[in-house]
Amino acid sequence: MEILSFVLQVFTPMNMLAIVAGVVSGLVIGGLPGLTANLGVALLLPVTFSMDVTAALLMLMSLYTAAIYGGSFSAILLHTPGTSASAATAIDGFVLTQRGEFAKAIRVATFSSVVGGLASGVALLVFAPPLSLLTLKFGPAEYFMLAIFALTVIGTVSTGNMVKGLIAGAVGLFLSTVGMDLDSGFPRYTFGLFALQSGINFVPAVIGLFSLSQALMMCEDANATIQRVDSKGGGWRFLPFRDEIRAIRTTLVRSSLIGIVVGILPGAGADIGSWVSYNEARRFARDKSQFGNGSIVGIAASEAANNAVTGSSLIPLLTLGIPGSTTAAVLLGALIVHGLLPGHAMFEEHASITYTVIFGFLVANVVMGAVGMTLGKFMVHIARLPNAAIIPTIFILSIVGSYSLGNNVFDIYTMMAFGLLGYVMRKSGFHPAPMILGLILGPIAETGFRQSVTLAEGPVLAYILGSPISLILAVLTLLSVGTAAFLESRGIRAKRDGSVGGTARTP
Amino acid sequence: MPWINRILALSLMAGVIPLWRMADRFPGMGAVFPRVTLAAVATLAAAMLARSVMPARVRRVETEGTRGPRGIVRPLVGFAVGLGGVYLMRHLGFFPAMIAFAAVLFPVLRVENRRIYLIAIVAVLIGIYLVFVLLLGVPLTAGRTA
Repeated sequence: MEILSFVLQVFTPMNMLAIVAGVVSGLVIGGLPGLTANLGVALLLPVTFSMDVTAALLMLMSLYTAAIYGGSFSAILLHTPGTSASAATAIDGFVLTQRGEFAKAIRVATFSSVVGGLASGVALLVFAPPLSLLTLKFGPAEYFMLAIFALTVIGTVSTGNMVKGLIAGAVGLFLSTVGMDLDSGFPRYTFGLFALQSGINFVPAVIGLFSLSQALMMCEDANATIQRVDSKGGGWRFLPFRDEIRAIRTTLVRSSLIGIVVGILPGAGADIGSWVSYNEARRFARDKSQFGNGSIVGIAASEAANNAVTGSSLIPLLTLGIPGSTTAAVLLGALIVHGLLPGHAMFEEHASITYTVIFGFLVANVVMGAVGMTLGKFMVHIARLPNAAIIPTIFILSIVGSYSLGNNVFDIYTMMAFGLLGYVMRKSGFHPAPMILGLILGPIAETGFRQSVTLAEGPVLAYILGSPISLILAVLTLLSVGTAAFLESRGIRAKRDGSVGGTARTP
Repeated sequence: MPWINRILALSLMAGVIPLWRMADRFPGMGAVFPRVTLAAVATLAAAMLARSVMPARVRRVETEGTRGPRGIVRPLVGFAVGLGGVYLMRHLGFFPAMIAFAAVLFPVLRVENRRIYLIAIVAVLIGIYLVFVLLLGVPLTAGRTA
């Protein structure tokens, strides 16, 4: 009966409004090439402050899944993926558009995205609660190692250059030490600024690093826009035809499973899931020549997998606090801002919020399909908006979003500083995600580290590695760094470079 | 790219030194964790420096956006205009300051489609008024004239 009450809570007017608002925002942001789910979550985060926690999380998670799906519109209609996760969709989707069959491509992409999203939501519901029990065995040493592991994973995956990713994470950890020391009350690295005594605020930092830096990137080519294409393709209908479903059903199952597994792997995002799934669909196909020539199986593979990543990337996030993707890293900050700490408490003390959000995530995927097919015809106009119209919009929203946090102009200056820093980082090959994660996980890591130092009767390292869980986490940390270093040295990851952080618009 | 990496690595290593010294004043265990992170930054920066000297097997494009120093001029000017807009917020109020910001940004971006630019500004300001002022009750700055 308790489960039923969680399900019913999803359908309150406020929660449904939050889902629809998140889905529409996500579709628009995902459909605009260059704008990512990270940016969307960062910009929408301030709007959620005064909202009920459940509605706030529903809105952000709906935005996340809809943004990944929204990327398929510009991929199919304009051959320009709205997000890097839809790059594989562009291959076959645009061929169908050129043939005048864009409606077919959109409905297959929509159906596949919904199926992938629902599958990942079910996985979240099934796997997250038992996995969260693991955190009951966590002490200071385990939390410290968990923070380090999460940082190395995001650091090594989110950029093509492992060392730069790790540097960004370490700088983020350092920045988290700015402010009043909780033990002694001594101000650390505040440089006499009173406003810094409470530390660097996460929200302005995330808005600056993801949103303002993107606006500055767009300033480089302010009039870039998408070339006009003929997007008229008849036969607009909500669901695919029976023979289309028959053609893609095996791929949907396989790709959803691939997406779920990739999403659970910390740090591996929707773009990896999408490419792996596309390659597997091609490998299993009887007629491989269809791939690249308008195969609906190719579209289904890419779209089912990238949306299957969204829900499953929340599994390590909600249970252990390890983000499964860069957007999940921003969502981790959102959880903390709303007073929730990942772990078993999410499924016990805050069960009402957590389960409602998970069921709401399932509903959001259905809403996403309905809204997507309704707005689909207009998405081509949104995707073709010039950068010049988007730049001041992001600027103004970033300013008002930072200000609304505490009605404080200092937060705007913090956002601007991080925006400039984010721009410089992106120009020099650093990705902002590890820095944000460092800022979020810094206090957890420092507390764990300090308590370990206090509790250790001998060398601290021996104490930290003394527990089996932290030893496993240490081994996983070494493995993630070692694997990334090995792959980088072999140049295997070279082709993925530049895929994170959005796709550039074509002039 | 290697020369940028070298400059960045050296800057990071140099930046660590004063921050490490500042930690001398932190009482108790307050200095330990910052120094651990600073040591990590310095070590990784040294690794980046070493890597930039070694010949790369695969030449990769790590940066985003246009290349060359000319490409960054407009973003930096846009940033300065944004800072000006924030400064004006206190004096003129949020909405007039943002209109002034958009007006100054217009020639900086060399906007070709004026109509869409204007529609975007008006739409976002109306949206902000509806969501942040009316719905969320955020007291946006009214300026000294108010």
